[in-house]
Amino acid sequence: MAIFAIYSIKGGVGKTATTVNTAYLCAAEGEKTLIIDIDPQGSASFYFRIKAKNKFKKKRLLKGGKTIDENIKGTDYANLDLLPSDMSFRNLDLALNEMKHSKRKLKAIFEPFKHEYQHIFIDCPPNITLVSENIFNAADYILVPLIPTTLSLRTYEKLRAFFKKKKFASDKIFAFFSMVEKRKKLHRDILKERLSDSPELLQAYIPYRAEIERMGLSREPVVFTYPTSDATSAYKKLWHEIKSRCLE
Amino acid sequence: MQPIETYNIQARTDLQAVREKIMDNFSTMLEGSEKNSECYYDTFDWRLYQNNVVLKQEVDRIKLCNIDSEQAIAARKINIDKSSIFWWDLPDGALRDRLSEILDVRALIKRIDLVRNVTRIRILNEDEKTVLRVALHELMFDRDTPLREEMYALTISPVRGYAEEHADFVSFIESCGVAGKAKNLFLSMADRLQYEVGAYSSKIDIRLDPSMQSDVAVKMIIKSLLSVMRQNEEGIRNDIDTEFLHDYRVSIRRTRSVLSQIKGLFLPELSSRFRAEFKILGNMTNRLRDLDVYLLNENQYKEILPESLQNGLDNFFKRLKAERKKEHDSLVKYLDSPAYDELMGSWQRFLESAQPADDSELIQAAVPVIDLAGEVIRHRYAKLVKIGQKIDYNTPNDKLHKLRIQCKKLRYLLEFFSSLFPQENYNVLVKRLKTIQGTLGDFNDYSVQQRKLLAALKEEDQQDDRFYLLAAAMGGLITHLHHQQLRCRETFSSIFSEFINQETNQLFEDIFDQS
Repeated sequence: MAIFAIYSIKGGVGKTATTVNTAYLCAAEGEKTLIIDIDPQGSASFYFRIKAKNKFKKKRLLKGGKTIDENIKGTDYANLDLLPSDMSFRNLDLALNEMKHSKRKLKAIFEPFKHEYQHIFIDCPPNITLVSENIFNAADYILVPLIPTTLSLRTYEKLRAFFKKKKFASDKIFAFFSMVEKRKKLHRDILKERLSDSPELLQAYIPYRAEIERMGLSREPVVFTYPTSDATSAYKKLWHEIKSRCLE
Repeated sequence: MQPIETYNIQARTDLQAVREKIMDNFSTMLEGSEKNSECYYDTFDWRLYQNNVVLKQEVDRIKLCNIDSEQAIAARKINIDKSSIFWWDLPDGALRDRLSEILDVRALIKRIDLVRNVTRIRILNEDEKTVLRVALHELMFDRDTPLREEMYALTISPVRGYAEEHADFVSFIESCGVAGKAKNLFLSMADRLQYEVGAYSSKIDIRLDPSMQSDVAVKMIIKSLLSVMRQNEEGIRNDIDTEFLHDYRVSIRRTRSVLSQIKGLFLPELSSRFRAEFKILGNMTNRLRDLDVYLLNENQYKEILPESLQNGLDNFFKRLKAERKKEHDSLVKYLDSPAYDELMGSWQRFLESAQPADDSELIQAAVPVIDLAGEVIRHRYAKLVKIGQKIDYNTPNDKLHKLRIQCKKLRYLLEFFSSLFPQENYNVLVKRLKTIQGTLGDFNDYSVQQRKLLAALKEEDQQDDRFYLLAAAMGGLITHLHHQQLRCRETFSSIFSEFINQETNQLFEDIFDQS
């Protein structure tokens, strides 16, 4: 059993696509898998055509237990369930602020799911906030998509520095390149340099592909819609490497 | 995991009609149809069913699934293609492990063999999200199943988090003229094939009325024992697993025990004739059962020994297997003989006949069964206490053997008459008795095994150049068994004095006192 948090300080880096596709691959191997969508944009929920119940509010999430359980929904795929996002999650920080043990609250809430699910994937909101700190506590591994640009690499360094400062185990962080466009020289250079110099980075990377962008229209994981595409084989390689680095 | 709902459907045309109604009333997505062969396996006594699971052979894999949700618990890519199989015939893995826990020494038997033509439809909401799945099944039973028939069914699999949509759909289906709801698809198929799923049990389960005449009640008990014997004959003949013979033998022993422990119900000459006949029948099966036990213990014996001696037993077990085949053949020959037919026929006739007109010898026949039961049980317990009180650390083994027999007799009586007494205390009593029987049984097994191994060794060819290895291995086993026996012996006195104490006496008084 492992909890994977898919996290990025920056938005628009292919975070949700990673969550959806790796979780799908995991479930397809027969493992009971849960996606927890706490990104207020709710893109993961959108991709699976799942809406939260109107009544499901942040206070209820923080109560945990039965309320969450009732809100979990089956996706259209075997072994894959999802706890949908709710717009009110944007205020989760405020609510956490008012509580005791505010940095460990989510970890306690996710605890009961360990019995039902073999693996959990959390699609995290961007930025470093109290919610992210909660997630860094709760997750066993933090998967961080990086666009091969200088700016993106800087945010990655910032994240590592934050982990160091807050004494989170930085070996939980597994970053990988995402939205890679090989036709761009900068991307090629950064990939070449970093993949050989930074052993903590995952070797598998996700290319920029129109199929992935089209997930917003098809509302299905790209690995399901285009099982033979390069995007699919990239996600498969990524998932394979995550398993071998984290689970074996 | 939520259960799947199953509905029976009368005819193929009805299935078609339901399908059209679904398509007309819901936003749907047709997932497609597939046609596959499937077999379901279970043991003779339906152990998988009793554990709420089914084992299904699909095209190239076997799957152990929850019976209601059809969720796979374990699966393995393999094609068994056999009419029966043991868990130890399967490759290592989760499936084998799970089955070993449930099956023990029982074989899986092919129970349902069919071709399934299934059409799967998803029901969608306004976002085109699947909110539940429907499957329409055409099932054609095949080759090895008793009836060549077709049946039709519809199943609804819920999707988590869409309970309202599910409830709406279920009430829609129920208004569509389906033939009725089934508990699950497995039971629905079994029902169609006229299997009495879960019906067989070697345990005695007869409801007696306390005021019933004793002879009538006891005949009911004996008839149920006879029925168990008859149900196991086929499995013995086909040599499916060792439990058929085991259950058969237990029924013989129980029958003999009734006849010897309860007097004054039937004419003494008939009673003793059948006792003698069943004793002979029991003896005819002794050697085969011994061989079964040896062979079941093969791996365990080998594990006791150091690796250097394990091979010493190979030829020995090879010979036992050959001998077992002969013994089995000769038992089957007897079961197929006119003599056996005659025995069972006359026994059956006796059990169904009216009592003789002159019943001066049948002094207990008209006594209400609750009184008779109380009397024989009290009598047996008194005997047990009498022997038991003299047991201490130095008691010779044959006394312990006698005690074991008394315990067994008492246990049988408690089982026969269980339905007559309040269950709560009764179960406590039986549980206590079981504990002590467990220790006595182990003690006896260890001693019998030592004796038999030694006797078997004497029969071996001492000129054989591997005799020394066999002798060393046997020596190792016998020594090990001896130590086990001593350990039993050490714990026995304390276990037994815990059984025969004030509390147990009180239980007996509470349950069986005439007042």
